[in-house]
Amino acid sequence: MEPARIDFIVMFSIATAVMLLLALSIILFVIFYQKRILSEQLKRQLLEAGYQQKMLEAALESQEKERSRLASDLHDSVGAMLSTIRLTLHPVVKAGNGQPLDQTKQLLDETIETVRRISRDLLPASLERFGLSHAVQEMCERINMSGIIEVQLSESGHKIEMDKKREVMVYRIIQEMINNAIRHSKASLLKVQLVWTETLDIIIQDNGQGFDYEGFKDHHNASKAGLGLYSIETRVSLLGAKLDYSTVFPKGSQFTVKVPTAA
Amino acid sequence: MSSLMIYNLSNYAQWLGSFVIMSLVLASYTRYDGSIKILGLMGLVSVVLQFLQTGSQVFFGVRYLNAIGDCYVFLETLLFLAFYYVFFVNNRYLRLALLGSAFLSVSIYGMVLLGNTTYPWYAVLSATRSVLLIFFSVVAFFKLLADLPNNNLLSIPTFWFNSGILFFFSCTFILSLTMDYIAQVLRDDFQFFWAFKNFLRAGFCVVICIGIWKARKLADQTGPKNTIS
Repeated sequence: MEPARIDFIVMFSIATAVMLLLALSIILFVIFYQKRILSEQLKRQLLEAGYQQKMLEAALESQEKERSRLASDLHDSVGAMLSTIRLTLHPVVKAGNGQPLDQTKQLLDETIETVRRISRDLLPASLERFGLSHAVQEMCERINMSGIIEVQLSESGHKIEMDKKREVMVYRIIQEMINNAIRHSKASLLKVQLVWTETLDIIIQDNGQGFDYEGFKDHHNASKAGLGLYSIETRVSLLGAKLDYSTVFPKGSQFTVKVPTAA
Repeated sequence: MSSLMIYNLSNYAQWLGSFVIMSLVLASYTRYDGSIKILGLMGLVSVVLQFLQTGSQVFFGVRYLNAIGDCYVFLETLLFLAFYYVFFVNNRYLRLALLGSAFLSVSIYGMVLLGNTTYPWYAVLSATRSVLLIFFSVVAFFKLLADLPNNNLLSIPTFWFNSGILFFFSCTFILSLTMDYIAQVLRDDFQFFWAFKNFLRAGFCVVICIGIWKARKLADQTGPKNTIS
């Protein structure tokens, strides 16, 4: 082969290889640059999600603190004053025989009971002292006593100790779900099950009219009821839990929340 | 294996590649958008002209008709420019640049038709279109990055089309520049260089087929969508 021909072939090969490398480097640059953009976007989204979660946690915590303050103010201040009034009124009622005073005393008793109930709803002392199961049991008993609806509570599995903040959130979820069932389901029976496994499974079932869950999830069009569901979903999300809804045949609805026991 | 055999093999490989592109597009013609239809048309043009070239060799004993090759390069150039014209749907300046490039190609081809010698002009047209298409493919890559930052690039058909175009025209750029020299000085090696080009074109066809397959998957999910605005 002639040297000029060999030179040409060598030069041609080198130049073509350089062009090929340039093309490949452009293609690889595009791929890796886009991957970098995507990973940065993901990082930013994770940061934003973390920040949002912290904001929600802080909002709920301050809400709980406010409830706690209100509850203790109602119980210790208003409740105590009402009890004192009742005590001072007692000898007057005993001495006199007028019906108006009897009515006043009855009204006062009702007011004292209402203040206690509000105080308990705001922050159940039993939750703090005896834990979630006891507090839920107490709530169910109270509803049963009111006669609005029959509540059957059952609990199974080995209880696992939970962080107090998580317990409060779980309690609020159950409270909101029971309130929703009472307000909207037109049910006569409400079954509340707490199943302790690796997770805490809360199953709330009613024999009411059922409801359009997807419609309720539309928060933008939702009214008060939608806000209730929103607060449930917010707490569920903060707990890292999973919320499921299903229709119970022939009628009624069932909510299942699977809560991880550890944060 | 003789250089003629290698040349024939490469010819059939690129012919098959064009045939597959044409078949893939024709099989689901209505599902694809304009840019993919243009690629299908390019496959069709390649298959038909290659058939004419082979037919002229078999039936009339003509060794190689330069006119068919020139016509193919000209049509292919216009179709590639049309592909990018559809792709840059909302960019007035790039579309003007594409129209200018098409005008340039038509002018050069006009000179080829009017002139007596074919090869110098063929080389000029070939090298010019390589430069133009490398430029437009790089611009299209940056436009893809800017417009679709959240998508997986490897699942976007245009990414594969662009990669194929950039790969093919980068590798054949030097060949286009030196074609005249090879044809006149290295006559004995011409078939070898041409076979190299044909194999590259077969590779280009494979990459385009991957893009069409991705477009088909995309059309199954969302309906026809390949252009970006």
